[in-house]
Amino acid sequence: MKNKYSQRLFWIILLSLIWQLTAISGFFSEMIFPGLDQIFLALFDSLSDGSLIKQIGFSISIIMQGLFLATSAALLLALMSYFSKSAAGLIDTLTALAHPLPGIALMPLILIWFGSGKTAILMVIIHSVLWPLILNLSTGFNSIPDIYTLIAKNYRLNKVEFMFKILIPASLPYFISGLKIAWARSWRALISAEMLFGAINSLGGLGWYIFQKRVFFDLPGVFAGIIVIIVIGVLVEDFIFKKIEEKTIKKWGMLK
Amino acid sequence: MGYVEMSSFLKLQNISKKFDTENGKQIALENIDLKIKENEFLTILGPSGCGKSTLLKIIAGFLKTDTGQIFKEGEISKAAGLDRIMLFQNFEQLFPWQRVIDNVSFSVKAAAKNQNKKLTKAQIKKKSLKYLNEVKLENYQNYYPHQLSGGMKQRAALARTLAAEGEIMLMDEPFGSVDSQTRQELQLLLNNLWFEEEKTIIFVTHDIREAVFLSERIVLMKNEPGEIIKIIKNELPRPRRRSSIEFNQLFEKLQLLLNS
Repeated sequence: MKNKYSQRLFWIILLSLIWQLTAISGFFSEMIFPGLDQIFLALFDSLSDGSLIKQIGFSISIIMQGLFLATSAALLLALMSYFSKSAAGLIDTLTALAHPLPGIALMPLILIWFGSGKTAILMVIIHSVLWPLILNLSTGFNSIPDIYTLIAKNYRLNKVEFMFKILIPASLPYFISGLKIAWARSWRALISAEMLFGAINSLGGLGWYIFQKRVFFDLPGVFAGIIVIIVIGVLVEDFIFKKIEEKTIKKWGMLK
Repeated sequence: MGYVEMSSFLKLQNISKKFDTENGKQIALENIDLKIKENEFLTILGPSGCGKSTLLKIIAGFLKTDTGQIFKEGEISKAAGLDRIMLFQNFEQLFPWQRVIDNVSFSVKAAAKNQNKKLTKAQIKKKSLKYLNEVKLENYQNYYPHQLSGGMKQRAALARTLAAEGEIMLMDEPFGSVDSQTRQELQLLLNNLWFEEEKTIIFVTHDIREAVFLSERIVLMKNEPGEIIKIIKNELPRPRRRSSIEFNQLFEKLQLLLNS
């Protein structure tokens, strides 16, 4: 693990160095290829004047709402399809149809139905999270060991007890890997949706922030936004999810 | 109910079971009649494929019979329940997400609910510890199952089974996956537990020595179709010594019967 991070650091430093040398060489115009000094200055400026922080806050809060709603809905639907054959047929069909559909293809429709506000962005996030999460949860539910269902019968658990005491914890590895996919997809969906739907009272999230910077041809600003998006993405994937795994399935010896 | 049911605690009557296989119907069990006394230690001994595990699953209520019925104290017993609690061979039977003590508490809570009792958290913990103590696992109460050896896992599972407070414990080759030394330790533990607690145990195994060491009566089965060939009384005094002449005489007798 340590080795992985030191390797990563090495390559990041090397690539930054090449970037900076290219910028200094003057081979490209400063307008389209800013140096790292300019990029970090822009990043520092917009962080310290609070404008970037506000956009980060907007993006994070909206993605959290979307993840929460979609995860609750996915749990409910996956449980329904576990317990009822006819529900399984319907949910299976819906998932098969909707899962391959990129969220961005739905944006014109969402624009007409929900306008261009927060609800529209939420819809895009929910769409990008719901289906892969249902797929993962259903796989998880259906692959719990048979012995657990026998134990549930033997100890006379009712459906609710079975759900919370056995089904959900037993399929947690699938749940977490589903959440990882969900996070990655919704983060991408969020940024594109923000770009398309624009801002309400100058608050439009990170996607809108980058888009704005492009309008003013502020390339260091564009890169500053991109760096923030990368950093948040990596932090969540490598730290938050890793922590969750360490506290649960890794501790329980369930991580394969 | 007739006089027959009165004398037997658990009665299997004319039980048959077929399974669909690629080569048509396979008869797993045919005409099984068996009476089990209260607090008896009964082993079902037979080669693999003789339907002994299927029979145990039927008694547990996990499987339906094609013909025949099971009577418990004269009443037909069908659905699974805590009165007939199963101990499996598979190490997976413990919940990996719960500490050893919580695995046992799971059963304590289920038993309390089944008996319409309300237990406080302290009472649940105390009871769970009592059962862990019985299987000598109290020092491992805060371990997760994956941190335990195979033998310890089976002891934890045994504690959970005991905690269900059922009158009948069904055991499906519970010591089949541990090394022979651990297996003997577990057999001795079970022997002592049965001696102290009032329990009826139906124990399935293909290990003749295990059957001789543990049980009061041994039901011999054969395969294709799965049938009872003989029921042997085992009156060797306890604790039984594997090296004694009588032990080995009974072992040879059973071996002969199984191979004939």
